[in-house]
Amino acid sequence: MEKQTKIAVIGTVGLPANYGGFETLTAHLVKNLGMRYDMHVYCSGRRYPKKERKSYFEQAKLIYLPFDANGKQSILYDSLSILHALFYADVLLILGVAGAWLLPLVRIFTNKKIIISIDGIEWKRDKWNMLAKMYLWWAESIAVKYSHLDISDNESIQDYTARRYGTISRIIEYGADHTTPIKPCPYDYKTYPFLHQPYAFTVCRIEPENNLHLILEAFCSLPKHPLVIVGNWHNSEYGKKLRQRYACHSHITLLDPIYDQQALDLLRSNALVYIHGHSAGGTNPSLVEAMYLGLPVIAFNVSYNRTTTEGKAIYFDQSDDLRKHIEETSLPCLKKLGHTMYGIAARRYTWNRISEKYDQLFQEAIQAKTKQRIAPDVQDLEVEKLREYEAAHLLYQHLFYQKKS
Amino acid sequence: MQLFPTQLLQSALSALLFSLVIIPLIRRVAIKTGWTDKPNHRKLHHQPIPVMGGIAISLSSFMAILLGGDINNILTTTGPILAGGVILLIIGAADDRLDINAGYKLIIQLLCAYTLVRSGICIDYGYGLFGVYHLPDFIQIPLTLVAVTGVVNAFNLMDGIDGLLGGLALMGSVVFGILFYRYGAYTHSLLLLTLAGGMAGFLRYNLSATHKIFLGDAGALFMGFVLTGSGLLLMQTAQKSDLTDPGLVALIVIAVFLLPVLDSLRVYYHRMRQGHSPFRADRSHLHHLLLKAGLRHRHASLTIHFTELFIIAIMLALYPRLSTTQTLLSGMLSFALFIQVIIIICRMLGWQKRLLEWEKETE
Repeated sequence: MEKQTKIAVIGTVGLPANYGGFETLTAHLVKNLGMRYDMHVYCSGRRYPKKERKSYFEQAKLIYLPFDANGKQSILYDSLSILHALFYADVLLILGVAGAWLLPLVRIFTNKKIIISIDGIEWKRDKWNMLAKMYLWWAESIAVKYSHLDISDNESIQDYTARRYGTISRIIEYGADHTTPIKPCPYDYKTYPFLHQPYAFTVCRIEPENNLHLILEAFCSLPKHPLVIVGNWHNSEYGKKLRQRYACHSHITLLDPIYDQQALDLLRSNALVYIHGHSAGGTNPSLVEAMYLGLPVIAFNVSYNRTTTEGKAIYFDQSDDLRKHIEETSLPCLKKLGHTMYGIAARRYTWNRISEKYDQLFQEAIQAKTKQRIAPDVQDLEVEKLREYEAAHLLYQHLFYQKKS
Repeated sequence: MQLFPTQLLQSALSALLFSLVIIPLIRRVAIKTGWTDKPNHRKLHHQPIPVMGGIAISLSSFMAILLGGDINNILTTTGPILAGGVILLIIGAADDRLDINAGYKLIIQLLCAYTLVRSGICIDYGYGLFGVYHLPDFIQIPLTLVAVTGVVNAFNLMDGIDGLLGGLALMGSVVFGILFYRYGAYTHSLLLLTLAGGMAGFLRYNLSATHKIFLGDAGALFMGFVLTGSGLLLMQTAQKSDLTDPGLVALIVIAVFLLPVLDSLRVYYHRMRQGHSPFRADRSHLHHLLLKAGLRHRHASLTIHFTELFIIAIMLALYPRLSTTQTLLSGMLSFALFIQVIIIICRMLGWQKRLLEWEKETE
């Protein structure tokens, strides 16, 4: 039997997936590629108590470390996972840049292939303090420079890495076809009375950069348009304040986090319209999932959301814009938008497609030597030499991220 | 002439009071006669501000010394330092009003430095820095000239935001004033401490929003020269006496000027690396970087003051354990680290701004 390539997946909270996008991604990669590759997934012991721990998930072996995968301990968690993986893996798939400081050493002393996904542009997010920002800023540069391949989940982030590092990131987004539309039964109507009427829906982490204050402000003055938001309100001052301020309105329902996939799908798929307020983080899994469920999307006007929806959704900058869109968009228009969104998602955001892309990436990584730059090698030649061959114009290239005006 | 600490304190306080009183009057005179700094694209203020701070400080100090009744003594003992300072004060004031060619200013600075040397104040010992102890005669004069003009100009370049140069000069005057007292050079101590008092009064107005006044070229050159000259003399005095280790005093003097000098050298180097003249006007000094990093004027000044104190503290702490050269190098290393951190933060913030623009772009 041919020896299988061993792949170590590092940086996620673990399997079975019940945290976020990276975890769901890992679960599907294991499902689809677990037969072709010998996969090992590192899990956070803090999240999986000893009694419930399994040693295998589908075909992948699970390895537990007693640290948190996110927050301050993530540096330790990722670093130890990388060190452990060096003993057996051929390819390291690292999700997140916390352990990037080890990569130069890995490149110098071993011949393991490194694929790193840089997540959103972490260092500029306001949730981090100055020291964390400086570390993430540096770690991102190390991650891109010393990996064989790096993954951005959005074209806008690929533009950014091209501008900053002069290299091309691979774009691999997220899948959404693990969601299914669900028709409500009588019991559901009792638990969630708002299901009787059309409502707008959002599910996300309650953070300022997800612009919940803009959404709530807009709907505050639209008493005829119900709004339902699912999120972790009591995790932050921001969330608590918003809940206090807006929960009194009868048409606004603020629910606590729902982890059950079916319950979430129920609420989502029966909504009239999906509001997406994220302003950072590349391609958001919640957005592609809403698209796959055929929901018309009104999204915050930022390059990442535009690329995810291919510019075909409705966008808002301020709460006034959002209010106008809600009031003025006709039902047929919304239905049409929903179909368009579904079309995009069915084409791009299915786990089969995503796993295929990762498969190709693994194959490429196994043979990779150095990272390709976006500037052609001809630009390293001296100007005089190029002039001699009447080829000096090759020095000035219009690169893909420069928009033609 | 023996002076007691209380007398020195009294004189310093009277200088402070004088400056608090005179400056509003001087402001009005300056505004009326057009002795103001007009804003342009590179400068950081938006209205014309009177620039007679240097004159105010020296006047206050003069009056405080008069009160103490000892003008003759001061003039004879601190003659070369004071004379050079006053000449630069006048030239600086003329420059503030009329914009004098930089070349002329440089020549006059060299002449003042030369008078210093001829009167015996110069760098005449190596203190073990980089293995140098004895300095041959033919090196001493050019070295002193270069050092004095260099430090005076570096100091001048620091006059970029409110309170910055004033605070540095205040720290320097107080440190030197106290050290001179320890060595029994009471007249020098008096001069420096009264200048410190005048400086404190000046700072109150320099930092005010409504009654602002600038040091001006006059004040910067004057204080720079007086401090440099006093620093050199202090090093020589320490060497002749056997009160404390002269190496330590030399390091303290160097530490006071370390930040301005290293910053200027860094800026010259980067400008030349980019192919420009080292004297090109741009905004790459330390205080400019701190402003770019998002600090407000007052915070930027305080950060620089604390960094200077920190560097002095590090050098004092390390001196007993390391050699003179090593201590100096550690001081320089601390500065380099500090600058590196600031530069990284600036770069990060630059990218953040750019990203925000790109995120909002629509095709």
